[in-house]
Amino acid sequence: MAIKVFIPTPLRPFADGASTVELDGRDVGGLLTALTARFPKLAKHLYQEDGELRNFVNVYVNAEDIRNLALRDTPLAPGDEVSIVPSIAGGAPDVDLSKEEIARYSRHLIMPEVTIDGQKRLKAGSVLLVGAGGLGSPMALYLAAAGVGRIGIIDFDVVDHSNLQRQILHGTADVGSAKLDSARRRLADINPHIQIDTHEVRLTSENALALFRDYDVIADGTDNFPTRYLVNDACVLLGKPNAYGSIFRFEGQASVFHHEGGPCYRCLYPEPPPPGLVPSCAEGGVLGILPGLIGVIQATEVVKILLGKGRSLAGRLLLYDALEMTFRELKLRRDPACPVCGENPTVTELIDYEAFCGVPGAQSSQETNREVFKMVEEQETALQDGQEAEVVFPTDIDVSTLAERMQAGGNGFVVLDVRDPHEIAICAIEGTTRIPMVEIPQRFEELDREKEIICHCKMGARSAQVAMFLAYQGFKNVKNVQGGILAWAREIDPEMPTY
Amino acid sequence: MAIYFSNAQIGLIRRHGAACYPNECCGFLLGATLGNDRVVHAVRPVSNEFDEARQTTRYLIEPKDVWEMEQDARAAGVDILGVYHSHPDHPARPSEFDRTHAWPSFSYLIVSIVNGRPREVYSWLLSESREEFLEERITVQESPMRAGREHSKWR
Repeated sequence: MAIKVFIPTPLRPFADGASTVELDGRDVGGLLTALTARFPKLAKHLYQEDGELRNFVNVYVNAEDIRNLALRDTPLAPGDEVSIVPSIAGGAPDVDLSKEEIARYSRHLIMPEVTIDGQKRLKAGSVLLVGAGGLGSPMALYLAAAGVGRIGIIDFDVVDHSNLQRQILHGTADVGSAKLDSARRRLADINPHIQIDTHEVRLTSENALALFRDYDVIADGTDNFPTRYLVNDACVLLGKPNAYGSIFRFEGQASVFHHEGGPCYRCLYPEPPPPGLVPSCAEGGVLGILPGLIGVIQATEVVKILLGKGRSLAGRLLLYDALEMTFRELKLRRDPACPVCGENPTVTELIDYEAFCGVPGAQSSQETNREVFKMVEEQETALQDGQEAEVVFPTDIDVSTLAERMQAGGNGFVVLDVRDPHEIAICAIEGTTRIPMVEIPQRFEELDREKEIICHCKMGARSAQVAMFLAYQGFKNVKNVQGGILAWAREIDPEMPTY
Repeated sequence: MAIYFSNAQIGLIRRHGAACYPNECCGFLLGATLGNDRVVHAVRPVSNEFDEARQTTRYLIEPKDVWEMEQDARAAGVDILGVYHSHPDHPARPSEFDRTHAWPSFSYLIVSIVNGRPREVYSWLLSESREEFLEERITVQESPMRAGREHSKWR
C-alpha cells in the first residue's frame, strides 16, 4: 500500500534530494519508520533524543495535522497523502538578570542610557581580547566588572617580572605561570556571573577567523605589527568591529576600526613601517600607567558598541600624550582604495603577516639586511658618495660564540653596545665600547676600520641597523649579535638583571 | 560557501526588522542553489505567529505559511533557501533556542536591531551534528542575481 510522502525543502538533502517518496505503511508511525529506514540521516532532524517527534515537525495526513487525529496511530488508506511540514521558530536569547546581578549592576541600571535592557545587552554580548598584557589587563578587568557576558582572551605568554609594572591582571605570585591562568582567576573573582573563554594559542592566519567568529567585538591589545594587521584583516573579513589601542613610551592612540562604515587600520596605515624602525615597548619602554588609560578607552568603546549608545571612535583617531597631558583627535576616512575594506579589495583572505611586515625569521637574514640597507640608504643619502659597490653585508653572531670570542680575548675585534646610557645603567657586558645608536653617524670614525665590529643592543633590531650603517660606511667585517643583551642574560649570564 | 543578496533585498530585511522592533520579524529567503553557493531571488516577509507577549525574543512561522510558501516557490521555480529574523537589542548571533529549533540546510539570516536601528547582518547554517551554527558568508551585489547569469564570475 504505497503512500505518497512530501518532504519539505530543508530535509531533501537527507532524502537524496527527493521532494516526494512513496512508502508503505498502515499508519503514520509505520510510515515514518519506513521513511527513516530508507533515509537514516533524516532521523536526527525529525526526532528528539527521546524518540518523540521534534515539536517543530508537523505531520499532516491530507490536510489534517496528526495532532488532531490519532498521532502516530492515525491509520492510512490507499490514496492518502502524508506531508511533513515544518514550522520555523527561533529568536534572540532570553537573558535574565538574577537578584544578585541586579544588585551588582544597580549603578548601571539606574542610568537611562543603560537600564535593565542595556545590562541584558551587555550580558548577551561577547568580546575577544587579543593579548592579556598591558592593554588587555585593564580591558579585561573593567569589561568583566561591567558584566559583558562572555570575555575571550588569546595569549600564550607566561607572566614575567617585567610585566608587573603595567599588566595589572597579574601579580607577583603569578610570575612564571601562564597569563591566562592569572587572568581567569582574577576575572572570576571580580565577576562570577560572566563566562571567560581562554585561548592559549598564538594568533595566526590559520586560526584567526575561527577564533574571531564567535565574538561580537574584537579588542586589539597586541604589541606588534604582524598581529595588528592580522587582527584588522580578520575583523574586516568577518565584519566585526575592532576596538583598537596602541602605546609607546608616553603616548597612546585609540580608535574603533571597521565599525558603522568607518575606516579600518589599513585605511590609516596601508603598509607596516620598515622592520626595526618603530621600536616595540620592550625596546623603547612604556609608562606603566599609559596602557591603563588607553585600555580603559578601548573598554569604553566595547561597552558602547554592545549597548548601541553614544558616539563611537569610528572614523576618529584619539591621540594621547601623557607627558603633556593632552588629547588630540584626527579625523579618519575610509580609503576607497583600501586593499582590505576598499571597493575592490585585493586581500580577500588572511595572508602571511610576518612576511608582510618583514619580520626577521620569516625571511632570510640576508633579505632583512638588504631591507635595512635600503632604509639606511634612503635616510642617509647625504652620506652615500657612491660606495654601494664595496658594501660587505654584516652577518649574525650568537651569544655563545661571542662569549667564547670574548673569553679567548685578543684585540682583533670590538664589541659595540649601541644602547642608550640609561639602558647600560641597568645592565651591560663588560669590556664593550659604548656609543648610543643616535650618535653613531657622528662618532663612527672613532671605531677602528681594521677591526671586526660586533654590534649589540637590547634585542638585536637597533644593532642590526647600526651594523648595516657601518657596512655602508665601508667597514668590511661587521657582525650583529642575535637576540642582543637579553639573549646574553638568558644563555651566558643568568645573574644579569634585565629589562 | 556563500549566500548572495542584492542591496535591495538586504535593505528590505533591515527595514522589516526596524519596523517590527521591539518585536522580532521573520520571513523567507527564496532562490536557487549553485554548488555550494546560494543566490537569493526574493525575500518574503511573513507574519510572526509566536504568542504576542513573547515576540521580543521569539518568532514562529506557522506550518500553513511554510506549506503555502513551498507551493508558491515550487510554482515560481525557486526553492526556500532559508529564513531571516531579527534580534532586537541583541547581536546577530544565533541563540540556543535558534539552534535547537533549526532546520538543517536552511540559511538562517539574522539582523540585529539596536534601539530600532538595523545593525549587523549574519547568515548561519546548522552543522551536520546539529551542535553548532557555522557562519555563511554573505555577499551583497548591486542588483539581484539570477541563477545562471555570469555564474562563473562569482563562483
